[in-house]
Amino acid sequence: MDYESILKNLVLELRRGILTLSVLSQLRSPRYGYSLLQLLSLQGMEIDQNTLYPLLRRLEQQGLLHSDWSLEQSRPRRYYVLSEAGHRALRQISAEWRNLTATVESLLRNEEGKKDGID
Amino acid sequence: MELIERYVSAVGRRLPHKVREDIRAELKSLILDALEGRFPDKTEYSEEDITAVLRDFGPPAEAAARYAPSARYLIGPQLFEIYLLVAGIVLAVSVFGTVMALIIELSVNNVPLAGLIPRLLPGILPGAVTSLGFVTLIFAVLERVLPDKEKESLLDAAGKWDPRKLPPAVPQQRVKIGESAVSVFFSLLLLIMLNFFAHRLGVYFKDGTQWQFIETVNRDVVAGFLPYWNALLLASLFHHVVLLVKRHWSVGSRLLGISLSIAALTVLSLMLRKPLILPEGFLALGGTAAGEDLLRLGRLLAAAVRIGLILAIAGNTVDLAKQLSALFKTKAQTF
Repeated sequence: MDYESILKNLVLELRRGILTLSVLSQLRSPRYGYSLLQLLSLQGMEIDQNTLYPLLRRLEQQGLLHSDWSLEQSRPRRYYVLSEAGHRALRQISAEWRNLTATVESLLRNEEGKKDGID
Repeated sequence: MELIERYVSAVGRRLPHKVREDIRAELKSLILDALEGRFPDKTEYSEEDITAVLRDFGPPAEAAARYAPSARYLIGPQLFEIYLLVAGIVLAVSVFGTVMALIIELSVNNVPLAGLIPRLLPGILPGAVTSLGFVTLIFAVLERVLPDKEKESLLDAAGKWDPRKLPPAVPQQRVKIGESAVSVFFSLLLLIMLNFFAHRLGVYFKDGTQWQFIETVNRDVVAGFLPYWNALLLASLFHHVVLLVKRHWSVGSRLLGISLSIAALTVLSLMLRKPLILPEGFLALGGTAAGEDLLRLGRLLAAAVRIGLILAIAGNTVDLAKQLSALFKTKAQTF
């Protein structure tokens, strides 16, 4: 495997867990798939539609999301929203995320500090 | 719009029945959303517009695979290698057995061997397809039955796992794949021969242009031993298929191998005491030879069969000794 593909895989792996957290974070109020895609994209989190839509169904199967067909607009759309378990999971994963980023940030800073010291 | 219907139903066809309608409806709504998003000023969409959006959703098979809750395949990668091996052996036995049966049949009916060619394909195909079908069916069932056990053992490993209970790091005795494959082949062949072609066992000879056959085997004696041979051969088949799957010997498989060797030795010794060959059958040869000479020929054949049995007993005894020594070696390393 060449360097470019290795790097691409590493970034994909890094993003995989973050995508779920990002999706959960935007579903405190009900949204349909396409509007969620737009919303995430506007805030800088690009997700491929072919990743997002199956992910929504998986999270629903796991009981973290509820979904309902809304017939109020011109045509039916499926809306997703956090379930009780989803709210709980979001709180816990957010706390985990903050811990992780703080730790990783400090690890990176230390390494960079050492490097600067040597130089 | 008809393109969208075609696309969602192509995806739906590849999905489990339970979720099909739901995913189809959702996919359709998502495609319409994507169209609106990409062409906000349009109310009517051209074929090119729809095609472009559908391309983003990917080929129906890929789209369905993203939604399918579990892998949809007949035989998975863990079992595939051993499936190929077993299918190969069964196919070889089926083809070999059919060809042999055809040759014997043609020879008995005095048809030249060239007559074999037009009968070869129609003769081989049904048996080969049926046996391959059975093997595939068995493995498809295994594929669906085995993972649960795997899950159980994984759960077990997570909960009750104790490093102190790990077996000692004994170098595992690897199974010789070739040996087991040959055993499977001959067990199957012998099973087929004994059960379907026992009445064809005898002496074949050419009398001028005619093939003649005399039954010299004592059919009653062979029939008396048949249930034991069937049980032994089936047990041996099971033993070697398990060895081929596991790829290494365990104490259990050694013990089974030893039991099978002892059982085979018993049956072979019992057979040695029975009159397997009827020398009187040779009297039917007639011709110019004297009856006494024909009987002597018969006794010679009976002696040859007895020598064959003695050789089989010797071979089995050597095998038994090897198995016992391997078992003691494993035990000695374990304790």
